[in-house]
Amino acid sequence: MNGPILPNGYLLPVWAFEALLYGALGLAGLGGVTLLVLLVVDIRSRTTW
Amino acid sequence: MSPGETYLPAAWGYALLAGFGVLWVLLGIRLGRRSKDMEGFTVAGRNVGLALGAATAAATWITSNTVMLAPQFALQLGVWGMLAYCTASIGLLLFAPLSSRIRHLMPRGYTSAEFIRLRYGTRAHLVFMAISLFYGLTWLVSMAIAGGVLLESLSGIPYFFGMSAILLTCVLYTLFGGMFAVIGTDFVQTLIILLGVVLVGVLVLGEAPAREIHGTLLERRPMLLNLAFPAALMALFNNLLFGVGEIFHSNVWWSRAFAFRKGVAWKAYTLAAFLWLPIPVAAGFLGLAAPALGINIARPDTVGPTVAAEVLGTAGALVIFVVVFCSLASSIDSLLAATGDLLTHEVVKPLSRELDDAGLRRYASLVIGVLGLTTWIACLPWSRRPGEAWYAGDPIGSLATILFFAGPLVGSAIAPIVTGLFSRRGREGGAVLAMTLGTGAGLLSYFLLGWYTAALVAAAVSVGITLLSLATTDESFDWARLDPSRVEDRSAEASEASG
Repeated sequence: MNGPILPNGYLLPVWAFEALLYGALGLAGLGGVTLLVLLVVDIRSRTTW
Repeated sequence: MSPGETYLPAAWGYALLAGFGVLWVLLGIRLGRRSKDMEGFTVAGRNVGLALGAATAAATWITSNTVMLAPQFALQLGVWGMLAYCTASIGLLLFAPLSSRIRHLMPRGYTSAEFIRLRYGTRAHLVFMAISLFYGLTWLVSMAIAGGVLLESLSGIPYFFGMSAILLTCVLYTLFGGMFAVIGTDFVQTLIILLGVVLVGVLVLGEAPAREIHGTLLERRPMLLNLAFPAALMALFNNLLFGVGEIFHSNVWWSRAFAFRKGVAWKAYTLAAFLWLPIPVAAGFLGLAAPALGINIARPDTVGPTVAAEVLGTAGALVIFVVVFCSLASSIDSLLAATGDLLTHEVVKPLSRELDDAGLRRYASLVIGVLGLTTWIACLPWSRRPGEAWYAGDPIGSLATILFFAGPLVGSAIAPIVTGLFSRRGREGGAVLAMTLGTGAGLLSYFLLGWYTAALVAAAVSVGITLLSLATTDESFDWARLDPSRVEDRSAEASEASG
C-alpha cells in the first residue's frame, strides 16, 4: 500500500458508501418517474407549452 | 482489453448513430413547426410548462462531461471527487430565484448579454460577450471532441466521422426547429439518460456490490475514501463556483428563463437541480469500481465507459453509447441555440436595424449553421498523425483541463450579475473591473497553483471589486430600463404630454 496510513476516522464508513451509491441510483430513478407524471399533468391541463 | 480493440462492433455504432441521428432530426423538425416567428424560434413562445422546463434544464446540464468527468474525478480524487461534481447542481438551485427575477425584470428579454448591456453599458457588454462566446465555444468544442473520442473508443467509429455526425445532427434540428426542437428533444433525452445511468449502475453493482468496492478501496486505495483529501476539498469549492458561474452568466440558462411560462422558472430550475444531483455519483462510482473489478485504466477520462463496457460487455457499451449520445445532443443543441441567439440579437440585429422579424429569423438559422461549422473546424484533429489517437499531442491536455480553463472567466461574472439583478447600485466601471481583473487573477492562479483554484480565485477577486464598487456609489438604477417596451411606453406618454 502506498501513501500514509490514515486513522479510520477519516475514511468513509461502508454504510455511508452504500447509502451514497444506492441513494443516488434511487434518486435518479425517482427523477425519471417524476418527469413522466409531470408531463401527464401538463398535458391534461394543456400547459405543456 | 488490448489497445485498438473496442467494446461495441463498429456496425452497431454506425446503426445507433444513424438511428438516433434521424430520430432527433425528425423529432426536432416536427416540434419546430411551432417556431413561426423569432419569439417562437428563440424562446419557444415564452410558454414552456414545468415538465418540459425541468427536463430541458437538467438535460442541458447533464453533459458528456458529466458522464466522463465524474468517474475520472472519482478515480483520481475519490469520494470527494464525485461529491465535488455534485455541487454543480447548486448552480441550478441558486439560479432558480434568479430566473424568476430575470423573467420579472425582462418579460420580453432574449439574452444574458442584453441584460448586461441595458444594466451596465456597452463596455461591460463587450467584456461579457467575450467571456460568453469563449465559454460557449469552449463548451461546444469540448463536447464535440468528447463525442468523437468516445464513439471511437467505444465502437471504433473514426473520431472524425463520429464528431462530425453528432455535430451535424444537432445543427440540423436546432437550425430547423429552434428552441421548440431543443426543449422537446431534451425531454426525451433526459428520460433516456436517467434510465441508462440507473440501468448501468444497478448492473455494475450486481457484479461488484458497494460493500465489495468499499472493501477493495480500503485495502488498495484508502485515499479515495479519505474525507480529508486536500486537493479534493479544493476541487469541491472550485466546482461549486465554476458551476454557479457557468449557469449565472450563460445565455443557455437565461434563454430558458425567458422561455418558461410565468411562475414556472423557479420551480423548473429547482426540480432540475434535484434531477441532476444524483447523476455524478450514479455515473461517477464507476471510477471507484475500477480498482475493485481489477480493471486497468489506461486513460482516466474514459474510465466510466471503460468499466461499464468491461463489466457488462456489448450491452453495457450499447447503453453507454446511447446515454453519451443523448447527453451530448441535449447540451450541444442548447449551446447552439443559446449562442446563436446571443450572436443574432447582440451582433446581427444592431448591425442590420432594418431587418424585420422574418429576416431576423432567417439570420438566426444562418448563425446556427455558421456556429456549427466553426465548431467542426475547431474540432478537426489538426495535431493527429495517421494512426495516432486524437488526444496524443494535444497541447492543452485532457478534457477536464480544457473545460476548467473557462472557470476563471465565468467565475468572475457571478458578482456583477447577481448584484446587477438585485441592487440598484453598481456602476459599469466596477462591473468591467470585476470581470477583467477577476479573470486575470483566476488565470494566473490556473497556471501557478492549478485548475482547481482558478474559479475560486476569480470569483473572490470579482466579489471584492464589486462590493467596493457598490460601496463607493449612490447611483440608483431604474429597473424599467431593462424592459425596452416600458421605456418606449414612457417616451410615448412623454411626447403625448408635451404635444
